[in-house]
Amino acid sequence: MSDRRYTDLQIERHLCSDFSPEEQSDFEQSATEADRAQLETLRRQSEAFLEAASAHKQAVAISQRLTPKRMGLRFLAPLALVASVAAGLFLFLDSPAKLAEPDVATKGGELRLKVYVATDSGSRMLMNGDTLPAFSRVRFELLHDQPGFAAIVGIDSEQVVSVYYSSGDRAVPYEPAVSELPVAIELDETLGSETFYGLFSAIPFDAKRVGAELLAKRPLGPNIQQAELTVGKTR
Amino acid sequence: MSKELEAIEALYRQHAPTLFRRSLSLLGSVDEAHDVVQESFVRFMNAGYTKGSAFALLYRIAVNLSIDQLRGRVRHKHESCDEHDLPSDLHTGSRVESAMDLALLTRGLKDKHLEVSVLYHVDGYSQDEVAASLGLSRRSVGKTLQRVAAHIHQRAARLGYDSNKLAAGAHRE
Repeated sequence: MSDRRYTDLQIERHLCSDFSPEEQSDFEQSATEADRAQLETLRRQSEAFLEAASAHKQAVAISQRLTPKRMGLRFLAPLALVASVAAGLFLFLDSPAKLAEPDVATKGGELRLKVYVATDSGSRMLMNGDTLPAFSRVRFELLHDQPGFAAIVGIDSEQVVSVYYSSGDRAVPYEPAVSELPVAIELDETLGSETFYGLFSAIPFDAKRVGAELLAKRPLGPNIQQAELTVGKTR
Repeated sequence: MSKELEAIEALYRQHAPTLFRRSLSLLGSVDEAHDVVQESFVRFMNAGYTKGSAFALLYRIAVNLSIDQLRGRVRHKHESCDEHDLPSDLHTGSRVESAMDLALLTRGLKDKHLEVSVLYHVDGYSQDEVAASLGLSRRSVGKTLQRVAAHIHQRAARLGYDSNKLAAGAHRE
């Protein structure tokens, strides 16, 4: 970065209109050619990202996950500020040049597991390492682009394997269009970490047996894909 | 489209690309980075912040969520191998792996300290660059890194990890 005066993070702030008027003025006067080139690179990446990500769909998804008390005028006040700044950014971003598609598409055949916990106002998506109280109600979303067979297995801190989603112990047919699995479970009182495994295969499989393989940390074989998420259970 | 939705979309357009780049650089996974971006907006909005820079708050949330994701990966790796195999297994030189090392060694640190640590140890910023990027004084960054170093040394000793590799800043440019 010898010919750069600004770090990437500073240039990101500039791109997001987070600079104060003084910082903005300083940038205009003292940014090097390398700084400006990096700004242009990031700007193009941003344009390509927004084309691929569908900002409207993302906004809908975010709004559906907000607690109701935040959806109203109180919530609009801070957003109006950033939105007004953003208006300037859109003009700035509106380059006539079409850009190549970014490499953000999900690879074919990839499996993803999302776990949601019920809250007073709806639900919240869990991230790896989140904690939640015992007896919380959770539901699962399993995403794959192929039809096949799916199951959800959990292993808790006492190394107990539970098959949360299946028909008996067998994996059940899976359709990509129905990624939200028709099951909601209430966690038990066992405290500590619990790992949920989403399992998928193009052919039927025994979920209980696969759970035992996971517990023993043995490889599952090439036919079965897994995605996992670990949460902590507290009182 | 409702005004609320318009505002959310504007906020998303303004900040999501940056949050995505940041998360992707730490996680190395497009899907996980998209999840972190969406979750960052939800947490930011549900918290109802009315003060401070939206950029700074969103950026910090995204960094913390990314590091949390990495801790989940580290924990899984940790459980599936002998603890003494962990250091050499984890540190192979890539940015993501440096971030995983940092995630392992900084558990329990404050959010602000974590943000400084990521820029210094993972992105390879100098202390001056960290200070300029976060609007902090050089002295404040130095003090924070001293606290972080003490924390890292304690955890590294417990895990049998050579923290000097991380302290050197694996990606200093």
